[in-house]
Amino acid sequence: MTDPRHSFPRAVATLTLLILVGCDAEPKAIRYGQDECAECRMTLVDRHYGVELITKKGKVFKFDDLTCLLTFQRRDPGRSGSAAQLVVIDFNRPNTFLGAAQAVFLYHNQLHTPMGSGLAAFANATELEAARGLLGGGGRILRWPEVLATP
Amino acid sequence: MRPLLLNTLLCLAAVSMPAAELHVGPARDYGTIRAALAAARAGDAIIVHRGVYREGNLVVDKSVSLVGLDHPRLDGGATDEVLTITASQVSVRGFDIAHGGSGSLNDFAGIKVANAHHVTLEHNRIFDCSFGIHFSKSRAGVIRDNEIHGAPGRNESNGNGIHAWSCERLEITGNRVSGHRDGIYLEFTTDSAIARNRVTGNLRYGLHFMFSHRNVYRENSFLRNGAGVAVMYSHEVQMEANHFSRSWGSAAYGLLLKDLSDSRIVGNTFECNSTAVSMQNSNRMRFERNLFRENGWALQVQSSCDDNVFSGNNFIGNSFDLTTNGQLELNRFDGNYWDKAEAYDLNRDGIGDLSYRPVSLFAMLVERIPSALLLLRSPLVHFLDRAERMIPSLTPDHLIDAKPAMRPHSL
Repeated sequence: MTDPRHSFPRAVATLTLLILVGCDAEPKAIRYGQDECAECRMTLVDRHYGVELITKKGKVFKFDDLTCLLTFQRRDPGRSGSAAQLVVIDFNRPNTFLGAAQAVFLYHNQLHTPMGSGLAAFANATELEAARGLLGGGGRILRWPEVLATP
Repeated sequence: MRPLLLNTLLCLAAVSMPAAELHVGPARDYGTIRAALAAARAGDAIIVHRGVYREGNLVVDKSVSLVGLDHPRLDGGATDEVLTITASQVSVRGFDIAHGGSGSLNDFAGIKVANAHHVTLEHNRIFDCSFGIHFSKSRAGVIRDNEIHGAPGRNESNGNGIHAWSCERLEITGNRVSGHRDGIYLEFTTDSAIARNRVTGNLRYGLHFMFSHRNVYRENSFLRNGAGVAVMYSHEVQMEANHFSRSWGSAAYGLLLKDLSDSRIVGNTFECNSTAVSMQNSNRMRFERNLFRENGWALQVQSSCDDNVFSGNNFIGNSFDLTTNGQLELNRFDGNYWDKAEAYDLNRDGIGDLSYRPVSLFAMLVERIPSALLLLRSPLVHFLDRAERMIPSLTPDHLIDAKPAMRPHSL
């Protein structure tokens, strides 16, 4: 049996923890067919692509293509400065996010992304190479800093 | 010398050879379309008789006509692209094309046309394919009177009904498209005409332009799509006599304009949409003789829009005629009919004697605090709007229609 004298502080601790977790800036699942891109306003439909910028206050901006995130950030550096997290959709796994800094990116002109950036995100180099093989080779491999530097 | 002579003779032979008809069907000369395609020469017609043909992916790499009698069915067995056309001067008419495959890296289509010009696709019915008709790097193609219906179950692999990428001078007329991602999608496609299509119930947009200039679309109807038409990052697009209705929902528009310029929107009807027209970063547009009836918002014009002219339009029964987040100083409203104007006309010239302010105070309020919409029919709001119209203080100063029409224009 639990000592009743201990259960109250424990409950408070649990509650506090829950509240803290609740406040955490977490990515939100993209509702394809409903959510609108914060930059180009197109409805997100292609499950291979998607980007989220989560601010420190927990506000989530969703984008259909990496190029929209870049445009958004360049237009409004202040708001992007408050970004706590940047996540991208794993090309191979619908609605699974990868940290932008951890993902590997393939640029390929045969990737028909919603806004024509031709950039897809993969969890690792093996999966990227597999996709690249299916596209007949070519293209270019990028890491996040290089994606940020694309014009 | 000899090869040249031989070539000349062969050319002459090819020219003088009459176009043949190759019949395909049970108990015909050819049992499969593939065999007929292999035997055909440029200019021949392949006549396909009634039946179901499961031949995987058929590639048409010669300038032939494929004619279906009584709608023979080409079935992709849910694994393949059905018909791939890589030659110019090909025509395909009268086929049923069904059950195409889908791939995450390839855009599988019912009929795909790549790097070919003067290809005509007519009177085909395409069901349950990821992309219905897919054109890329092709010019002067004709897509006429086809029926294209996507399967609702194909969420992730659902492509566009008619998809054109990097094409020019296409004619897309008289098609019926439903159940796809976008009904008709044009990307980097120019100088094309899209007319008399009926586009209903597509997931995202009925018609979607991306980086596609100098196109015309007229007399189409867009019903119950996520949004009717989105014209983005383009210039010189003519939109005439189209019907936009029943795009309902929070991100639903009859017409969405984003980074568009030098275009005309004339004689269209916008009925029963959450928002009839939403525009952002769009300049030098002309809106003339359009009817806006019973929409939530008729016009949502962002402050980033300049040098647009709205004249001779009818605004009837909309909850809001115009909202904006700015002053819209550089835009002009002239001679429109506003049913909310309650104007008078003492000199009887058909023009209201006082200028009219189409943005109401309440519309401004809702723009800033969306939840205020709850008060839509409240008498207090009505009173405030009246007071603001008499003594304007909060609504944009320059945003007036100086010559509001007393009666609806006959359109």
